[in-house]
Amino acid sequence: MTEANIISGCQKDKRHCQKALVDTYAPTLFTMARRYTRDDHSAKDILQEALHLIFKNIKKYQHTGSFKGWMNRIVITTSLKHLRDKDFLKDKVEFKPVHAKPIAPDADLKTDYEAIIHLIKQLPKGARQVFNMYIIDGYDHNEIAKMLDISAATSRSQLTRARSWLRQELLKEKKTELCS
Amino acid sequence: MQLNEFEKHIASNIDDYQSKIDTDSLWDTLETDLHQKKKKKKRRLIFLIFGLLFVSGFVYMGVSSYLSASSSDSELSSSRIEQGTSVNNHNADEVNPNREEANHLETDASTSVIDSAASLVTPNNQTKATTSEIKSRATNRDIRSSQIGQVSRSQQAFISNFANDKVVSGSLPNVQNIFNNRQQRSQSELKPNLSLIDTQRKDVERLDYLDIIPLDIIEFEKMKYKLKMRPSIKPIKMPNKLWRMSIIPQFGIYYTDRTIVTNNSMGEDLIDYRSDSEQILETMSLGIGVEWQHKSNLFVSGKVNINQLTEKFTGQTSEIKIESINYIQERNFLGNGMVEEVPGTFDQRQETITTSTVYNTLRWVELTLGGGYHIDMGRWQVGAGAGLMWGTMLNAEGRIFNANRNIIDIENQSSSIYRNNLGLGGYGLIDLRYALDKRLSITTQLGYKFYANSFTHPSYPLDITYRWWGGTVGVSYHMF
Repeated sequence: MTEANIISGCQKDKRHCQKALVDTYAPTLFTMARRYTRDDHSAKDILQEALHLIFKNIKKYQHTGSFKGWMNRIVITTSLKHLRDKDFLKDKVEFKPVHAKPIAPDADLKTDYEAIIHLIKQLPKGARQVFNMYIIDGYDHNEIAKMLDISAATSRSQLTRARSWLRQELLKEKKTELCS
Repeated sequence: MQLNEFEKHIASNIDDYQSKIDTDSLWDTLETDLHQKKKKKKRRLIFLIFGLLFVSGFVYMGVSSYLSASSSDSELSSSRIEQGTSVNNHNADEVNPNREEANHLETDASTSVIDSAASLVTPNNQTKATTSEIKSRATNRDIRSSQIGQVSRSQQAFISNFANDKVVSGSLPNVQNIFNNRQQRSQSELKPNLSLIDTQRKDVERLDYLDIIPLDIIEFEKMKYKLKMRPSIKPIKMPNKLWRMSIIPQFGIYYTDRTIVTNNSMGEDLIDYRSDSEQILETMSLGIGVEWQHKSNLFVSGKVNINQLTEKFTGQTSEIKIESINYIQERNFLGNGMVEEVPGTFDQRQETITTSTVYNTLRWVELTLGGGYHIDMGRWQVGAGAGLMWGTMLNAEGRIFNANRNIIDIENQSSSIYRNNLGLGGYGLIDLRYALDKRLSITTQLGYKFYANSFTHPSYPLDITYRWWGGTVGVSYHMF
């Protein structure tokens, strides 16, 4: 079933097309949700909520831009909302040392995407959000600031922090490679 | 791997990576959820249909009872009634001097029953002649001259007694049936226990009649009171004009369903944050309409309504102060005593949260233009109509969440998150009227209305659609 068929079928509330959408896109959308959260259980919740919103709003999809991009944006927004809801009443800044779980020694970061996701998940919440949005999803700092309700300076700072942390992790990996 | 290389690698490739997930179980959960939402919608529709059926059932009952009551009146023209009464008076006076009193009885079937009673108390040869005349005038009277001929003296006295006491209820065949049944039984069987009968009552004071009027008198009593209690309904003859104009002031209450949806197909503003209780809103409406009704029962109408919507908003108002704090994020020792310091910034947030309930009020003016068709049923009038409407905001106060879950204060008009132009919408209604007299009617309408595009502000990714269904009550005053 082509993407156009899936979209038009879902717009008409056809069950088999909705099922086809889930089968086709759920795994990649799940990857995206996993990048934003620490645990897979929350990622599943986010995916489910996002898919629900996709089905609810697919009639409004106007074929401007890619369908995948439209769905990705819904997943990102749902993820951010989920994270915001989680500590809606908390007045705190997450700035605590992170002790990364070691990556499997035989992991190749060029091919092993599970290891990459695992690495990203180890980032602190703020840094993880900014890293995902800036590096992978292509938002600029002003957009990130608006979406996360932070200042653009903080967004830059969080990115620096994420990069610094990742550099250390990659250095560790390099050392492991040399040792082996 | 260098960091830049790593970043480029994940940016270009990770989006295509498919994580393992059991899509079947995910679909099962989603399907149940989607199905339940549809069920809710269906349930709401069923409630609406049943509500309409309930109302229309009441209307039907009212109309049919009115029609049955008015048909007996309308079948005899007033001149014929007079003529018939004079003939019967003449006959009755010969035997029963109390006949005049019976003429004043005010019941729907009074004429027929009194006439019949009068016919019964006349001698048989006169009755036959008179009855044939009455029968030809009143089709709903099953008076058979052969049966009347069989009425005994005591039965005649019974009837006259009831006529004198104004117990003139039911049709004559019922009385005849009672007599026929009684004739088939023995007197001893029919004799009631006299101690149980209240002899102080006027209609049973003559105990010698009790052998022929046993406990069936209760039935007569019931009918008597029913007939006395029913008001006299007469149809109103409306003026025969090509066009009639009416002024209709109305007051209404609508159940309001507000849905917050996106207007740009993006995910960021898809969430309706309100709780279930906050989603049930009431709108009060006060308006005045003008209606032109054509002779063919088609009508056009225009209306001006002032609406006020009250919505409960329970939310946590929060004030957040963000202060950027600089710190040394990293120190890199470069050797030779040189240290590179990497500066960092973090937000120091100070948030004050207050939970409060606020009632938002939105007032707007609405102009409607529509048409429809009425069906006349005597005093009752049932109609259906549809039309277009346009509205503009007068005033909005309160607060609301925006898509980012921030609280925004609603202000007036242009600075409000609500656009002052509500846009175009439509409505449909069922109308029911009862004419009090030639000029005045009570009108009630059940309706559904919506705006195709509604309160939206271009600066916020928020679009709110409103749908209403409810009813109005008003008065229709016919000018000409």
